[in-house]
Amino acid sequence: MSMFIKFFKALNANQHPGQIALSFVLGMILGLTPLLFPHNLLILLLVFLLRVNLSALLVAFVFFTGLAYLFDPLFDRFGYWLLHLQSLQTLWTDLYNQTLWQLLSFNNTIVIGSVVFSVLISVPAFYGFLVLVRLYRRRFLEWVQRFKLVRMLRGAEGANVIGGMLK
Amino acid sequence: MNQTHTPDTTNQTDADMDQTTPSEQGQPTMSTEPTKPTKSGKPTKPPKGWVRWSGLGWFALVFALVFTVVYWVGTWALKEQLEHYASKAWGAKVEIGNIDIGIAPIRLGLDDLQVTDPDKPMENLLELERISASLSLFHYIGGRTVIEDLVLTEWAMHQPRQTSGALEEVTPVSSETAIRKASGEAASEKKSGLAMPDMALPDPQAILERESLQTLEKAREIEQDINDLKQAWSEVQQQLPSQDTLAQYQAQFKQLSDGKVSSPADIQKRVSEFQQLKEEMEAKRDALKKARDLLGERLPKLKADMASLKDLPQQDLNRLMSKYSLDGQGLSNVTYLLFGPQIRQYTQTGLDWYQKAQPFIARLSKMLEEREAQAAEQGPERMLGREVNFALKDPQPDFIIKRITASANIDWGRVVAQVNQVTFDHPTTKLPVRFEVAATPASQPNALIVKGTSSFVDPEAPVNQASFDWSGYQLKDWQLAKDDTLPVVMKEATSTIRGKVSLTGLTEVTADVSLAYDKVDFDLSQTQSKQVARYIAPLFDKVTAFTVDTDIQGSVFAPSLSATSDLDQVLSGAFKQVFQQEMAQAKGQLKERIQAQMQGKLGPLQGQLDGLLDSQASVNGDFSDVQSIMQTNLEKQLQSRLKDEAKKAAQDKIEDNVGDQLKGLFGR
Repeated sequence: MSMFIKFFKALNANQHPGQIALSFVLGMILGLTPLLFPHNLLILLLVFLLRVNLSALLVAFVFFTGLAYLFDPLFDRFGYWLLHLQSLQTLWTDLYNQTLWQLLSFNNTIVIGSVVFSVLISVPAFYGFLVLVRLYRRRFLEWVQRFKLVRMLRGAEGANVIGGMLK
Repeated sequence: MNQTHTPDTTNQTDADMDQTTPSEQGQPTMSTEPTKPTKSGKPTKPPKGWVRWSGLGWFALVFALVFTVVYWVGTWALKEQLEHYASKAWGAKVEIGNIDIGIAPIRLGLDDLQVTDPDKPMENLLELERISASLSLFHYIGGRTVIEDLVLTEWAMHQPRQTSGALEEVTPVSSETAIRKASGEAASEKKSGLAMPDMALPDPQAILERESLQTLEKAREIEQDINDLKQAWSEVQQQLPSQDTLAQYQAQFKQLSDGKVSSPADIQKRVSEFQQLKEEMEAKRDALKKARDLLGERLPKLKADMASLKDLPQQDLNRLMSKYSLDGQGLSNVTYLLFGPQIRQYTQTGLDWYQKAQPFIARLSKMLEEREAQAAEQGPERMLGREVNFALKDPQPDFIIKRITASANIDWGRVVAQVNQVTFDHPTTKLPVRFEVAATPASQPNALIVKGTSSFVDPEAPVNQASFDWSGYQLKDWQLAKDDTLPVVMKEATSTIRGKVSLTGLTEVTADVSLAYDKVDFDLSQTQSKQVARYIAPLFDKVTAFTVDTDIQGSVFAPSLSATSDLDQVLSGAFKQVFQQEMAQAKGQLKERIQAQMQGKLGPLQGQLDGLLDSQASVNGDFSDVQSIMQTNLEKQLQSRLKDEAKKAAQDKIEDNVGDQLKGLFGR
């Protein structure tokens, strides 16, 4: 609940829309790609290094993880196609013989498929999320704030009350 | 949660929003930058930048924390797992004092490794102060255990344990081990002292007392045959007709056959009496025939034996001289006698190690197979993807130790060993295991160098071989043989040992070992044998150099061993020379004694044989006489005589008549 409060606060006003969009993108990558693989260390490093909204990132992560279960068969087929592309065989073979790339498990169909897919859509996704955040703030923020719950969330007192209730 | 400034109008632009003051949100994103006043007069914080450098520190901290926890837990778990699986594979406790893991490169270090002897739970077969292994990260990620370097330092063997190192589950003794133990025990039971060649020389009397002469044996055999014949002869002799009887038969026959035949009735009468005589002679003739056959059958063999008996003394002499002069054969076995037990011990030690390793290799192979089988049974988990493998520039098997380096300074001396390409998957590596060991005892100037290869590139025809070379090995006070008769001590020598051992198909061993000894100083002063002290010890004193060639072949569990040496020739030659003079004298004495012994036997035997031969002649004569009488057709003979007499009477009568008529014509 606390996470959602923070998320809504960030979404509503107190953070740059681009940072929120980036949070969504990083959460999307974390969610779409297999979690316990070394490439996510880079994502984690970016999370720590860049000023992103952790709540937004986690929301995106949860959402896209669920989505990934549906997409995994597609990632598998996409990765398999990529790894068997004749024109890339030399590249893959060279990478396969390097420790770093072996460590990244690039030769796993789902890993390569999901990572490439996520990276490819990350730029359009960033702008998409950016537009959505701005759109939200312009069109939906006032409407959302009419809700009593949101008004409660706006104040610390309300948040403390809810926090106390949840404890 | 701190109070947050939130936009209160819907017309607020992004730029405005960027100008708003994001209050503390309970996130690590907040900074403490100075605020600036807003339109309402309230201070606002400037928008924060995109990069938060403190995040690097947080990231490093989290990473370090996770790493530390993983390291500690992983180290503990790895130690437990290693001890468990190594003990299971080895068949006795394998204990690790401490374990440490390195990261770049991946390295695993074990301190105070103790490997219990499976056959002796209260003894550590091996104790290692430290063993460290560096792992190829690249291959490890690919699921292969490729150990680039394995370094073992400071080990000790056969150290006592404080507690038993036996596993709770008793490992069944393999049948091969049981056979080996049984055969080993049997071999140790058989091993009883040193069997020296018989070298009691050259007292002829002692030789004759010790040795059984063929001459005497044959003489006794002939004597026995003669006695048997005489006994049989005496039985037959009782049934033989006496000379008087025979003379009486002769007389009766003469009476019947001689004299004037008066008439056919006279003939009939004589024939009738002759028939009675024949019937009376029939039994006697059978007795004579039996006697003749008895002597006729046995006497020729006796005569031949007697003839051969005369040649046997020389044969006995030659045999004894050959045996006791030791020329050619007498000391040909000395190499084996001296070096055989030692080589057998070395061979047994090697086999013991081979046997110890066998169950470990078998168990390890079984564990690997089980693991592979389990992995094969496990289907791919859901949504894990598929691994697409590409060509490796450096293909490696699932398990390999590329280099093992071991070094130790132990009481015995300095040992350095290096083994390369240790793997169970030679068909993949196409490379054999290569090993080289240099062992330098503290008392030796040079090292024993052992080099070898073990190749299973073709699993159907594995090749395992090793060669060794030890030059300038200094020997001092080496008790070569501990036998009371021949206690050979090599007081000093310099030796060079070279050899090659091959294992074919893991069951057949072939080994050639060559030992060259130089500057040798033998000592046989501890012998309790006067003969050794007199004849053998001086020979060893003269030996300064010799070589020994050993050949080991056959099953690894029971190899046959042979050893040859020019020491045999050296000793035999010197031995021959030393004894030549005494041998000549001994030979003469021996010959005389053998001849004397033979004559003592030969004379009486010849007398007895001659008597039997005389009897044979007599029996033959008597039988002929009796046979002659009995075969006579008396009736025909008498009738013929009757006719002749009648004819003569008629002729006489005619002559008388003619005479009378002539007298009448001319005389009167």
